[in-house]
Amino acid sequence: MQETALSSRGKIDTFAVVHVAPMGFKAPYIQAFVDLPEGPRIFSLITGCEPSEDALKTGAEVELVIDKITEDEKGNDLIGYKFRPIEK
Amino acid sequence: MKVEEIMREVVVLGVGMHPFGRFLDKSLSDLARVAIWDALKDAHVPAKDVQVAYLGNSIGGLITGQEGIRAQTILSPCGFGGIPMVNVENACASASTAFRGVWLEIASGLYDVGLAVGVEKMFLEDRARTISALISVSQIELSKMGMQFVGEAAMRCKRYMRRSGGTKEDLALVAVKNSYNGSLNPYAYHRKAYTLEEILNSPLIAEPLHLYMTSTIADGAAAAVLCSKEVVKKYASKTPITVAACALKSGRYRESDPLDSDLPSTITLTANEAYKQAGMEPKDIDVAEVHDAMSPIELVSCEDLGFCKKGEGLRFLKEGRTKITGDIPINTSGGLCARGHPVGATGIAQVSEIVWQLRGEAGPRQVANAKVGMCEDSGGVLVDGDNAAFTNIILKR
Repeated sequence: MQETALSSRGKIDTFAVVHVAPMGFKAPYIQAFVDLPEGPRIFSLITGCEPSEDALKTGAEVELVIDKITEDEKGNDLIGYKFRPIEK
Repeated sequence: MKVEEIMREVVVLGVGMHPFGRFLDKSLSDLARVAIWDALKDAHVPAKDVQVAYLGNSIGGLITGQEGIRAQTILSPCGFGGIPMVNVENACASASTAFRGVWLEIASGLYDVGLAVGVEKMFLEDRARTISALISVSQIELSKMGMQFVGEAAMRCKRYMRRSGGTKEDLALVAVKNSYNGSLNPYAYHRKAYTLEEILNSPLIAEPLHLYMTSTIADGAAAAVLCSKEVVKKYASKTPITVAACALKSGRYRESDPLDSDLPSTITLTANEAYKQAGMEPKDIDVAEVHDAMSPIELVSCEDLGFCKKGEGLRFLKEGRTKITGDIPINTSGGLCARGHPVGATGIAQVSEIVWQLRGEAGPRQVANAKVGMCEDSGGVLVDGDNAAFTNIILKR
């Protein structure tokens, strides 16, 4: 086992525009698997673009941002990572 | 090594189900009781002969608040006590894992007669609680980050489309076939044959998946009575069905997604183990129930189980080879989308369907001359996208 620092940039493997949201989330939103150059494929919500099928495609470059994911029962923000498309 | 060379032969003597559907006024025990007593009657086995029981259930703790001892609390009002009871929780493979437990207890020689039960109650006045309970079956690092499981399956479907060149209309054809099969099944929740147009006009959940291409929450139960081959003649049973294989595997970290590469999926690895146990090959399977939590996933299973080559699932479907009249009928029960998916009951509902098929009791769904059948389950989602629990059961006449 060896620790490896992961890039904050990756490429979209696949994404889904979700039209029925779980509790604490608001539809429509985009969830995706992002391939990092070091190998891992990670799950993430996507921000910074319209939640539509045309907004992204496989291979699109994305970068990590720290953002609000949802709220806890008391209304406190829960913070985590998301990815957003890199403007070209 | 073939199972029959290392363990005692175990047979399924009887199966029973509580129809799948919406039963707000019934408890887990009410549902289980119907399935269990139907299975006992079918097996001609008196309840007092049952020596061991395993109960599969996935989300009952979150739904009812009863944790830890659901087997004991559900089975007691059904008439059972003072025997070994095991609580089995393994996501969508809970019931099939319970079935495997009873199989092992009998195959080992410890007991002769056992009961495997799968039961789930998902309809409540509070729908959000059911959805939250279902989401909890994914690894928590995913669900807390907003993963919605239909969306996760939608991404698998997109990978499949990318690889196979199939369209959304192609994928919807699985639901056309399975909704027709379900329309013939008295135990199915949704008994309507949908047209392609009706499926594509149903609400969009996540591209390419529309509502009628997804399994639905349901209440229901299924039970199986198993015994050793040695005691079969004690009972006036119909055709005993032999458990030829029963494989279980966990998901794993994968270097790349099997949908993007030629690496074997965990469904394939589990099936290979089952084929080895049974001393069989894919061509030996006459009928199969596969875990189509979202109906297009059936195409992936069809390929991964070896019924056709990778990438040929769609052609196979379009040629009608997986229809009831085809050479390898898949999901004659209607599968998870038409029968409904009470998570912890599904595995034994699959076993029930295959037992009926092998005995020639499937009525209008009957596959001609089926001798060997397979049940494939997979459930839960791990952080890198593989499912968490996989089972594969092969039954033979």
